[in-house]
Amino acid sequence: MKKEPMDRMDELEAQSIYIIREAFYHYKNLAILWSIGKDSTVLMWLVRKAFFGNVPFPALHIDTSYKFEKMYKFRDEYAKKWNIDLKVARNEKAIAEGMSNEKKFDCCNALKTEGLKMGIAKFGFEALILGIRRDEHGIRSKERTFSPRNEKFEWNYKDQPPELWNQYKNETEEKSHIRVHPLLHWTEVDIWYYIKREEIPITDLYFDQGDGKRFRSIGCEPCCGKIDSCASNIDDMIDELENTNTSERAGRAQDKEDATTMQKLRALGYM
Amino acid sequence: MAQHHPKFMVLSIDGVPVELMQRMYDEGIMPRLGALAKEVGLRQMRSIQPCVSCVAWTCFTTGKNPGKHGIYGFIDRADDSFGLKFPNQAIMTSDTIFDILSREGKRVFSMNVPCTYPPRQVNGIQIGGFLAPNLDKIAYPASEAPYLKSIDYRLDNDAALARQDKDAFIEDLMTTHKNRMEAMEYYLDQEDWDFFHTHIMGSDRACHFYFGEMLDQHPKYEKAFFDYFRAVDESVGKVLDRLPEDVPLMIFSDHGFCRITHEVQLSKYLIDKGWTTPADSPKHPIDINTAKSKAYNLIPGRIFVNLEGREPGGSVKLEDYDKVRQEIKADLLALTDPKGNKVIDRVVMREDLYWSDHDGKNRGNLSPIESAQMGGTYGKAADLVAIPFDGYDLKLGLTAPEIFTNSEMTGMHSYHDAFMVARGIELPKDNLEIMMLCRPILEHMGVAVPEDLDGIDDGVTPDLYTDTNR
Amino acid sequence: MAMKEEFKFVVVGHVDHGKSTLIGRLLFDTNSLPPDKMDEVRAASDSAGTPEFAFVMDHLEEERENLITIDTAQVWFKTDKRDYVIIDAPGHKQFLKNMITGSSQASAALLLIDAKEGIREQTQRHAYLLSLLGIKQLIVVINKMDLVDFKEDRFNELKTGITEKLNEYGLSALHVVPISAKEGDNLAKKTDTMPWFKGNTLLAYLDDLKAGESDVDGVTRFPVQDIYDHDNEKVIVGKLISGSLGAGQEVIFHPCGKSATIKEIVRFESPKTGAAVAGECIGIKLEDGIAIKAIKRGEVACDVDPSPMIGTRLVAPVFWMSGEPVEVGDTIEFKCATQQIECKVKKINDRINSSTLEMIESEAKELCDTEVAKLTLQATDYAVTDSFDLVQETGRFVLMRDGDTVAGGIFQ
Repeated sequence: MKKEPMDRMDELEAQSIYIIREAFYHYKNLAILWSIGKDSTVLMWLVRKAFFGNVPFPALHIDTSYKFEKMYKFRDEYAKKWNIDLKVARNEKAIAEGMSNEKKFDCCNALKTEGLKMGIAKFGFEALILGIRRDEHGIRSKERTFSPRNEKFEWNYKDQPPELWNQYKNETEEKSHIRVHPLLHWTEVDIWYYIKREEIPITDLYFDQGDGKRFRSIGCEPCCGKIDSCASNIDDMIDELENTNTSERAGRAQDKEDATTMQKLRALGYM
Repeated sequence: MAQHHPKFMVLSIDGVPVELMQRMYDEGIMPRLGALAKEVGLRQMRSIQPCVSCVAWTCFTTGKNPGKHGIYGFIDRADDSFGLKFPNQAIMTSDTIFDILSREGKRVFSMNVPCTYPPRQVNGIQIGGFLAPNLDKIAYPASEAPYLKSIDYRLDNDAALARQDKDAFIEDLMTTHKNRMEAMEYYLDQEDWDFFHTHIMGSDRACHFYFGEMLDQHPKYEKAFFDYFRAVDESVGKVLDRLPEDVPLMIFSDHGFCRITHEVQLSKYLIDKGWTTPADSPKHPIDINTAKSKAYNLIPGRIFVNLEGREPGGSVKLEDYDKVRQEIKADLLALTDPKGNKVIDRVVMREDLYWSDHDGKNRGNLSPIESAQMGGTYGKAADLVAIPFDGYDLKLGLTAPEIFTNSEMTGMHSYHDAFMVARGIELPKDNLEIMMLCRPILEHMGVAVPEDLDGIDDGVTPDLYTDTNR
Repeated sequence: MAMKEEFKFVVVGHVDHGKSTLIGRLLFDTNSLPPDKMDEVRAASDSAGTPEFAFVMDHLEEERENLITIDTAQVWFKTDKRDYVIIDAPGHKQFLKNMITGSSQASAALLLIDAKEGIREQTQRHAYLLSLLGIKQLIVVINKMDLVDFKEDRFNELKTGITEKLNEYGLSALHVVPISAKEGDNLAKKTDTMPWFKGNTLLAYLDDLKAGESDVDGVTRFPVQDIYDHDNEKVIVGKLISGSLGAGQEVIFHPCGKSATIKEIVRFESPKTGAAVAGECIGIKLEDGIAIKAIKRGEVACDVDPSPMIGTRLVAPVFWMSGEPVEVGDTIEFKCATQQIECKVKKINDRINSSTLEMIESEAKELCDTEVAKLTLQATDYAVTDSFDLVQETGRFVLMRDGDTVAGGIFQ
């Protein structure tokens, strides 16, 4: 019998599949949150792997109505191809009232968060699988693999119980839901390596469309900014991410910070 | 002798002079703080030179002089070039009281203390100072960001607004204060903290923009000024009400304030005197022609010699170092304003002002050459520091057309007259300086004091006390 | 384009024994800091010109904040061989629970000792806790050799001392290395300060450590995670935690004792073919239809010979991590691999305070937060376990109450 060792990509993939199967075992009313972006599409791919080509629970798409046209097309095409039970949730009221990104926090809150709450309430999901990664910003840094939310969507991140090895929390209290994060240990470049290895279909919005710019992340059209990049295919992408090392990123971030600091100091009379 | 107590509370109010504080409580503008001061005493305390907030507060949190912590001002020359660098907690090399207490397992909280961005990983929560770029990056742990955003916690007052519209700024002062106090109460309630430090910065902004108006009894701005301090006093009251009486506490400022007579564009003066030559189109305050400059100026009053072997493109030889300094000093002392009044009170050499050895015995005992050659945090100090008379706010001005200017700011920092109200802790009896506070707090909390703290014996700066600045 | 292997390790030891400097030095010497930070480090040197590293760790947070998980900071550096992740386990008592979680992801530990100060209480505590977590690859680092004039005698004295201490906990260090993190001796490169030390640099030893816990050549263990219907056949899914599994192989499922032959290894859209190796998540189809009915989640497919340990009496040291204590007579959930079995706590022995390492009592009625004891559990069903040395995943377990993890332990 041939014995080939596992490489790092294999290990990440195996760990994610294990987590997805655990969630499926423990929670019967489960759904995957599909934002059509690269991370949640990789997640969808892993779900198909875990269940040998099937997606045995619904996919929830929170539609803010501001997504790129290409994303809707992609969604419908693959929902059909992969036989996905697609549920779309929209905060119709807010959208009708013309909620826009003038006040970004309010808009995200109304369309995404409230939309999600409505989705969960409508379909009664007790657990959600999401594509959150460890190297994303902000509050995500404290996530566990299986992370509970109470009915107000609040999360006690201050005193989380420990999560050891592969043993995850597997009960929910009534009226709360559990979030499952199979991609928690992946980084942005891991996602691209995997997309390349598996040849996962991805919308071409992520690549340079010919004007030396591309979208690094894809959400609602009005709020997504392009970054300078000539990456027009996956190899370029991986190259760019591996070699845009911390110092470049830090350099750009620091320049931005310095500019803000200068402004402040000027106003205060220190410059 | 006060007993030891495992807890300590600090509420600092930036930039309020002791005389003003006395007046505010005599006139019933700050009754709660006034009552406390009556009970435990209101003392005068000295700041640090230069008396800017980032330097002074770092002296408080580290208990050391700038020669040991490396923060000398808000802007510095970059390490290997004549670019600009903005010192922050990341390059500040010393432990702070928050770090020391954290290591001892004490639960610490600090909010808005200047020079605590980027926040450190304390045993508790650190919400950094006003130079944080945004709320996502201001706190350790980062997970505090959503709460801060949800209450519209503000990084700072909008000074640009104050320059445009002093009326509109009143609201900014009050709202920023209110939201900050809301956060303070929220965190105070969260757990049984061992060390809790909230810093109020709005007072400094209020003084910068309304001090002169307050002294002149401007109908609108004097009232706005005192209304703000009434609100601060209410907050003091809330803290006092919440705190068990036996918990020691300190309420104090890092420097005082006085009216501005003129802002002084010191770089312009150095240019006029031939010490500095700006580059062709200067892009920032120290963008100089190094071959043609023997010195340059960083705010406030920090003069550097363009020293060969130290500055990139340094043009002054080591053997001329002190001669150049003495000549610059003479020029500085000769400067007079349009009315003929002297501007600079004293010029102090760096080896007399800062030190990096544990007991401070080096202070005043290094030769100029030794001092010039020292590296490390001490080596970043200015070669000479100009200390102005009250009323003369030393600025930059590499491209300024005139030396003496005025702006929307009517108040400036003063060195000698910060205030201190301390309950339940013994402080040194005479000549209190802000770098002397860390040590007694640590001792009072029963924590070992690191060996290299300043604030006793030689490790203070009493010869900066003269009649002119009391 | 190949991905480099990633190796995670944790650095433990008394907080003042130079952990920050060590980590800062590791990053600096491997050029893993961004250029601007490299400059800062050089600039912040003391009057002797030695770069200042201690602050690097604190202030890396600024750039790494988006990479913090599980309440412990993670720091990256790389050598030519692979990428490293240092899980910086905080040393405070309150953080113990989080340290355990962080350490549970590590493949190795560096135990740091100050050459001048010697073995401190916290050093011992961490070593002891590491032994409970089953971190087997341990390198003892004797730091600050510059403070003892790089004397060989002192190194040997400490080496003997720590080896004895570790032995008491059933641990042994793979290597004991003398370094000076501050001066950079023997960390990334050898200098002439310690010619008497014939071993390698710390970095060379790190590069030699084995990553990955899955043992391809070990005994076969396949815990059943679930059973799916696929193409009208039953597919058993799970993660192969040890050994290998291929078509035609004979296995026995424990604890039910049914034997079966593997018909097929089922994967979906995978470049892998043939036998599955340890670490893979796969599906298996069995030849024998009868065996399937008895198989459910919790069963473990093993080699015919040797068998794992099967029993209802479980004895192991555990580290209690909940504010609510456990008492003799309590009911608790035992989770090991995919097994979840209700147990009764029969005995609590050798109850130890993990801060002082003192024995509180040898026969206890209860166990409290941050304490360790040897628990005897009576399971309500047969449990399949191994000694941790043989198979890690069936050699370690957690205890749960109300759905939350309250303790962890390993079978020694």
